[in-house]
Amino acid sequence: MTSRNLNFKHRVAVVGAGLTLFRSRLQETPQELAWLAARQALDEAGLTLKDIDCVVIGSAPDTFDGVHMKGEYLAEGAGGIHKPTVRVFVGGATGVFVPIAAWWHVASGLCKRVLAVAEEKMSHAAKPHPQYVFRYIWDPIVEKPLNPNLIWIFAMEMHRYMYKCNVKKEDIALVSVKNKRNACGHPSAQLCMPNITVDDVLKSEVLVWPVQLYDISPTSDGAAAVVLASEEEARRITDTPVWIKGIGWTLDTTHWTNRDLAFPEYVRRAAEMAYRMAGIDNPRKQIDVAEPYDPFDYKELHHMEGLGLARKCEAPVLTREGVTQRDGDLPINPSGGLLGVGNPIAAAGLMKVAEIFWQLRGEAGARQVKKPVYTGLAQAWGDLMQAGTVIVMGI
Amino acid sequence: MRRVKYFPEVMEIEAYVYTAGPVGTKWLEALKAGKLMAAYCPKCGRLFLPPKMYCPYDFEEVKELREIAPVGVVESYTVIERDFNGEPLKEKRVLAFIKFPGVEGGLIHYVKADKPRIGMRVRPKWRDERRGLVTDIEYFEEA
Repeated sequence: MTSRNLNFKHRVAVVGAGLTLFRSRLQETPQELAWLAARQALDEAGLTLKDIDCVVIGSAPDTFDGVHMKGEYLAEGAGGIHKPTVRVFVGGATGVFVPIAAWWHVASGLCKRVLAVAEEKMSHAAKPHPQYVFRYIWDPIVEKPLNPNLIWIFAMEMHRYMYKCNVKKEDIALVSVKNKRNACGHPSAQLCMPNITVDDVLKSEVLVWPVQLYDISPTSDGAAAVVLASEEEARRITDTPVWIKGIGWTLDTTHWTNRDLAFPEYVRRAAEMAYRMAGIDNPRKQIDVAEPYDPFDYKELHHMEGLGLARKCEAPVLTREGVTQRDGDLPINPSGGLLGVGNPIAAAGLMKVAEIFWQLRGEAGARQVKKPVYTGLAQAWGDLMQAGTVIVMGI
Repeated sequence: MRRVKYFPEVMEIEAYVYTAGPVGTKWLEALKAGKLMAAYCPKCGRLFLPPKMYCPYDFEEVKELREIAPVGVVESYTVIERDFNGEPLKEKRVLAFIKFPGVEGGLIHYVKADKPRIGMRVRPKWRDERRGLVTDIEYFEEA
């Protein structure tokens, strides 16, 4: 398949990335976290704030940081004052949606150099627990009176996936083990666990069966940033730009009863959109390294299949065979993912984009995958667990 | 159809704990000690409020606070006559935007004055018991 003749004016490249530590509680304010990541991305690109013409901010619910109109609040730390600045929000899918929105700022010809910043401070939502933010995402008539908890959806999905694909919990736990070990190479990581075993995961406390403590990513504070530039600018800024080759996003219904719980259709459609643009017709062969969204271990498997990186029900097999390890044929979440690096929602998605950027530039240090990589992918997932965002990058 | 079912509920998080940040914390500690300070940018040399760990003008890191003269100038003010629910206040309150000479930005605070005016010079009325909050200044009064 050849690339669809999309009507955009400029090729867009990523030319710098920045990341704060991910921790359960950081001392800096949300604005300061945004600044730390933004400044690092600018420094990496060799630019200053004056060089930036537009700013895109991504952050998940205002209720985490406890500041309503959080986008406007974050704008100063994100470098957006007196510039065309916008905040985008598609729940947990936001982190990958930030560079997607930044892409169209540049591709349209409106802006030449865009700073894209994502931030989340879950520790502010102190009582009772940050996940209470999700108490009011439910249908008020048929679901809310049952007082659902976010993990209920995951538990239902995970169980359905296990049933349909005949997957054992041991196979799913392998993802958690891989990612928490991978995280030990990441300077921002919150949950590096070099010696974790499948047994540790299986023995961790059961939260909402079959979901156990080590199946889940933690709550985190953190921020991430990338700088995007038009082709002309990118070539002036760096010898090693990383091109955004395809973008895609899709929404499925908010009724989880009306979705295929065993297969993420929203990701498949978002991926198809991105692949069409990137001219990818065999993702398993053409994608060299990927960062699918992994707030839960089974979601990495789920998303690999949605992305076409594995056939349906094949992802656990690839995982067991070591294909998805950092030195495997298809490294998956070499960063350590959300399970290992941490999950400051929007910042976690953008961390994945930053990881692909560094991997493709060969700058991922201890995390650098063994095989040579030319094309990579990052994906996030969110809202009421039905939004999918995909970005394909290449050198 | 006018008769529909309603679902009463309360919303989400009961309590937030906000971080003041490293520079904001120093600023609040200074308030506790009865001192008014502003953040200082080592690159552009600006003093600015509110305090934070980066300069909003040139994106440089900021670590230092410098004490400023606690005499400000009222840039604008309003007189609050009713509360959140629209009920009349027993005592009207004056809220002002106060700038300090040589400092970018400023503070919003109450001013106690019978006849407030723009351009009025004001100074903080400190509380005796201070807790490291912006309300350690009870209000500003004419200097």
